[in-house]
Amino acid sequence: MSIVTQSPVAAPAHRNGDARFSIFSPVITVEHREFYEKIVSELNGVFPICTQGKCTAVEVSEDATEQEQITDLMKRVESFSGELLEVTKQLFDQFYQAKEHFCRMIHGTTAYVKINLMDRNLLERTCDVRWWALETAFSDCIDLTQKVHERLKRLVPIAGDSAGGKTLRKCLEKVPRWEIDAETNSQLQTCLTGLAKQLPESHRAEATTLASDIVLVLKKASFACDRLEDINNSYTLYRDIVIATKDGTIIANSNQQTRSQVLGLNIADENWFQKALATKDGTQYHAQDLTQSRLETDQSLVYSAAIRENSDNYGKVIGAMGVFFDFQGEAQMILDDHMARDTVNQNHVDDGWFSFLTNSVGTVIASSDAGIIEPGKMPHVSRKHRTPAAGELPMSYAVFEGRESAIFSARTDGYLDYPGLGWSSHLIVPKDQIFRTATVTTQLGISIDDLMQSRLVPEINKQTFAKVQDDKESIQLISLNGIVFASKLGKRGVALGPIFDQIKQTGEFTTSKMEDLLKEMAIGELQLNLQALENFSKQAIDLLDRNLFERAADIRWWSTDQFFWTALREPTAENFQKAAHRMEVINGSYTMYRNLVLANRNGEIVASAKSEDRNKLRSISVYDDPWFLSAMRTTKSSEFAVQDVQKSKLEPRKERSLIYSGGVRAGGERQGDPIGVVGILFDWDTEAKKILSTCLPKNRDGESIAGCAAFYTNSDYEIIDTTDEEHFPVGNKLALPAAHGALKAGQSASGLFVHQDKRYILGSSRTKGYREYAGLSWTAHVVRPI
Amino acid sequence: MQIVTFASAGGVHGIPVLAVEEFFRPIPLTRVPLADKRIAGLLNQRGKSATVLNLRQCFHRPTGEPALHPKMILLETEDHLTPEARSMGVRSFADPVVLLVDRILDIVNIDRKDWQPRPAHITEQFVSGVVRHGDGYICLLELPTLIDDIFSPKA
Repeated sequence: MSIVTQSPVAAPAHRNGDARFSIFSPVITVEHREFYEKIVSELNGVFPICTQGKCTAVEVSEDATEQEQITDLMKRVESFSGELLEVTKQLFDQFYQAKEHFCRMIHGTTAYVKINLMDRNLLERTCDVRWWALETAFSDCIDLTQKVHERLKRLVPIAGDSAGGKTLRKCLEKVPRWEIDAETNSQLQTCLTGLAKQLPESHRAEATTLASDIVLVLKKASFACDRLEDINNSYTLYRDIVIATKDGTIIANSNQQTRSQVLGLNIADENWFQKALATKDGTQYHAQDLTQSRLETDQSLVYSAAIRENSDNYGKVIGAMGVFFDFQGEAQMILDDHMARDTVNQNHVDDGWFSFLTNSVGTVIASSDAGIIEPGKMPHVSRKHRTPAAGELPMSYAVFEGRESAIFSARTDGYLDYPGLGWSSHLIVPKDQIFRTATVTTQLGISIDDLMQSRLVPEINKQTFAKVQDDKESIQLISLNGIVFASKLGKRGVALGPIFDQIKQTGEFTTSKMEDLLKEMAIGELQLNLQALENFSKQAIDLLDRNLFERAADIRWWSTDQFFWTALREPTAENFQKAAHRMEVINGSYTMYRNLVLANRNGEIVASAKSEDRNKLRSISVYDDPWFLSAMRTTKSSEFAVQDVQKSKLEPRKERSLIYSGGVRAGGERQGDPIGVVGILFDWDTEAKKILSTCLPKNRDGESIAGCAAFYTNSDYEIIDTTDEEHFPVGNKLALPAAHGALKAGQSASGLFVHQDKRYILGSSRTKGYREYAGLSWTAHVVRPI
Repeated sequence: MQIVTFASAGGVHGIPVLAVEEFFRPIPLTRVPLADKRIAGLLNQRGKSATVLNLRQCFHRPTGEPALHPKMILLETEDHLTPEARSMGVRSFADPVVLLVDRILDIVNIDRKDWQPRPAHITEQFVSGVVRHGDGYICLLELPTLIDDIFSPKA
């Protein structure tokens, strides 16, 4: 299921107290320290000048009023210099606090997003296992296998130590097992046929029936394997899916490569199996944290659920299903994302960047660089990072691998009803990347004065800017008045002139330097804002891609459902009724679909999930609809089709529909021409809006910012869903900046954007798809007014 | 000769430093009803009442926008001019007058021989000449001409 909740926002930066930056703090860049020292020495130089001025006043003038006037000017200069010194310190404080806060927000959120992506994925998996464990193919298979087993066991003592009895025992113990292996099965069959002649009269009939029943078991087991393969072909994020009988013997799996080793294995002592048997009803499942299993060499992340008699939610437990999630593959994908790339080789993560996951006790379970942060070991980071408290996003500086770094961590908070496994995600970023000074000013596309006035610059910086400019004027007026005053003293004033000149120069130098710093801060603010928007847009497209991947998996799986192909092959009213009921059941669990429809090869809708629409839909021909046509053209059950967001006659009252479709093949075959099409109508706008609304930027206090909007555009850059119907309505085609219009799959861009005479900053990311789901060439955009 | 330069009406202008009594930030004015538009009002500085001239309004074709934070220049009265100033030919006015300008720029030293006569395209009579400074020209203002024109205009 996919419902989006708000992600926690990084805690607001501490405005005062512990977060002050001393100029000696190692995070302060060399340039800034030099800069600061210059200003301080200039301003400190003013005080002796003023003292000198006061002395000179006494020398050049005997008039007490004149002396007082000069002394007064000097005092005012002194007080301004003192104030400027304070302001300079405050500026650096603000500058570094703002940068740190932003980075905490950007990287802290990234660390959180990584664990959240994993949690969201794992939540979907919990739905999978419960749904699949209820397939009749599996309960039938286990049921029959177990019954036949019992009967065979009863036969063993009767056969006794006769030659036939010995062969029987041998056959039953033979690996590969008779339930799965055709050869062993036929040996057993021969043995039973033989026994049917030798055994006492009363047991002959039983041996004969068993001889045919074991063939049935073989068929059922192989059908179970087929179904598991079908599932795994649709949901490619599992390494294996297995079915075990109540005594722990694996009788079916989905992975052909490992089948010969896996089938017949007994996993009765493995925790995931025991927990699955202990579930109370069909709604329960067990999520096993990473563990060693006999099935795999890698650590396994197993979800399990009980298989119940007659596939009834409340039936007796007769076995268990275990699904082996491709944790390592998924983790690698998540960890490698959001990382700075080597400029030469884009495949390599940049030096000094690390991302890894730890389990509830702080042991590394996956790492972006296994050579440095080894899975299975404790990472070399502080305790508070290894196992952070729930809801906290700790950030600290440390030397990691010989490099000054910032470490960001986030602990899972689960997702919806999935509590998570207590894991944490960590991101290590070289410190110089955080406090890097902004250099580019020309490519911003906005004048520095406009930027200073924009809403991006925090109020406090604007106030400081105003104060610095005001002080600059005051000092200028004082020194100019001093020069005027001195010039009127004629020859006597000559000594005073240079003093005021010096004050004037110092005032101009320091205030203009401070203005520069404020401008640099504004540019930094802009760049970080752009970065944040880029990240938000990336998050928006990633979440959507993953969601749509699940839709692509669903449709492939459902297209193989036997109720659907049965109804199409034998089109009776009863079969259509059954297919429709099946759709209703599916739709009941998968609420993100507005409807499910089944169309025959002529494009007539023959069944649908929503009973109220059934009559209306029956008269519709979908023969010319892209979703129908492209699904009819598929040749394999692992293929699916999708109709991009557009108007559909299946939903006349909806503006736009997103339809996934898959070909239905007779007998659930994996290849061949479809005999009809299943279409699923995704509740696109609801789901998209949910995702978009979580990807809107927040201010420093975690509040939403007025005027921000997020929207998706299709391959023609037409808006297909939006959070702001007023300014960015659906259907609007945007004239995006060139860089945003030319994005390739997986790329992001950010910059200035003018829309309806309003200026915005814009971050965009184009879909890169997820696993084998390539995406629909959509782009996610997030805008913030300036 | 030391000249104080300031910006007003889109141009750079200069007057002798010795003709200045003080620079300050604007203080509240008393508007004068029915006065010439060039007169911004009256103010009271150190117990003396002074007339404030809005220099921008004195030009025929001002450009740009008036500054958000303008500055005021209180001129010396004729009787307060230093002997040095008189000897250099600096002239002023009998009553206190304040110039309202956009920004005070700098104090510069210029040589009398660099002065050039007022170019033909400048029609303002109170511009007595121009002098090259840095990248541009400074218009030198002849204060008595300006003030006379306002206070006792020729019919």
